[in-house]
Amino acid sequence: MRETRLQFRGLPTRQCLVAAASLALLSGCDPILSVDGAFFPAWLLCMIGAGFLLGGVRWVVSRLGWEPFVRPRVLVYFCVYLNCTLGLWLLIFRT
Amino acid sequence: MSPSDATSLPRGADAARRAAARGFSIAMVALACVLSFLTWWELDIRPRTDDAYLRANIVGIAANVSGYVTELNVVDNQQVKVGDLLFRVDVRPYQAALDLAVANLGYVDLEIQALEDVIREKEADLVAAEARAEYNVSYLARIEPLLPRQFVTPDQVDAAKRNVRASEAEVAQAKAAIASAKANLGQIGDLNVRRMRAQAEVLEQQLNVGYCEVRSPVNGYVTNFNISVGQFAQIGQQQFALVDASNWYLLANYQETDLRGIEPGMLVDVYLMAYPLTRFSGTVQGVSWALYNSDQGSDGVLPTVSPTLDWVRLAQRFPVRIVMDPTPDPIKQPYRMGATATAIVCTRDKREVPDILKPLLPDAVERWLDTLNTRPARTPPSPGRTP
Repeated sequence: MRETRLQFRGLPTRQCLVAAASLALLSGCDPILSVDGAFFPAWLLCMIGAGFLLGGVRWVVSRLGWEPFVRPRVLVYFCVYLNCTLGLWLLIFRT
Repeated sequence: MSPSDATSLPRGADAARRAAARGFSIAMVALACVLSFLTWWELDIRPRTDDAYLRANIVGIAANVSGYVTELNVVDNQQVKVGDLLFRVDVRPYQAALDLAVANLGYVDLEIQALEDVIREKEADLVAAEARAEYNVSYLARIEPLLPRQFVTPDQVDAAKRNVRASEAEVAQAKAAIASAKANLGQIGDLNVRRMRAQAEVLEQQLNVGYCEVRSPVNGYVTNFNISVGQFAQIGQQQFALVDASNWYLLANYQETDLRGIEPGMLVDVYLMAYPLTRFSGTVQGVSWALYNSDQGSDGVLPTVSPTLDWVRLAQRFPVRIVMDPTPDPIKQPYRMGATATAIVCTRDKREVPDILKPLLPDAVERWLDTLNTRPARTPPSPGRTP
């Protein structure tokens, strides 16, 4: 437990802040992203990114030892995924 | 940490984790509701479409005279200003026609002088005829009283009468000749129609000579310039096109469900695929009133209706015309016709909490949402633009 906490305290907060600020500055990007001439809708990329974020969240939850007590797990993780998707979209692509 | 490890932990820590996990679960579900609402809100008050294309007006350039192209003064994609010379058509036939018309005008002036002389001649004829008539009348008056005393024969009197009538006819003939000569001169008041006709011909040929120089009617860009010297240009046949760069539009195809919030004059955020990090702006000019429906129509006088209907209906898309503000950086980020764009109409300058939610949310949250969602003030649209 202590180790986990230490790990969390050890997170470079300044870097976190810088990352969050740069994300906020990105707000109002073109909602269509060009991948080598093919235009992808932003929400698709948000969904893909949210998949990775979901993996991260699950890793943190299991490290914290909360996983057995998260119920109903399907609903909660679906909501986490939804939050990541919508959060990314609102952060980056909201004008 | 695996679930099986949880059982081996102390009871107090277990309870704390259980509580934390429950809090986490509830928080995630609640956050999902909030974010879903915010997303719906964003999409509702800022309808957006990816189906948008930049466009400008196109001016097809055609010569107003026929002839061989003798000189090209622009190249493809060149920027041109109003009045710039684009190309020349062989001017020689039109110059010859102009010279002919000018010569004809001089000849007509001489003709007019000659006709005026004719009129003077006819007027002199009239004077002579009148003098003769006057003499004949007085001669008849002198000899007629001498007939009873038989100093003259009846034949002499009849001859004098004949002379009077003949000279009257001569006078009438001379007057008619003057009128005819005047009509032939073509003078109406101060204007001479012969001269006007010749002058109009000169003007027409001058115009044709001018048309041999084809000049730009707009400020814009040369495009699809595929002609060369020696090509035969027909009257009215478009040789290439100019993109009129004075007005740029965005035709954004919005779903009919989004149209209710869109009104002329609303500000629009525009993103061009070519410059994804730059936000351009425009103003809604209007929403299209008509759309061709391929499923419905008429064959002759009877309507044709398709017997099949999809279970899932797709929303129609109506073009919304958006007048673009001038690009902030015309050198590095110029507009190009046909460029793919995304349009986001700002249906309100400020996001407000919907009335339906106001009783549910604490005032502090409402105020916070208001401050969060108030957009920075936009620069007002430039006065030169007509929304």
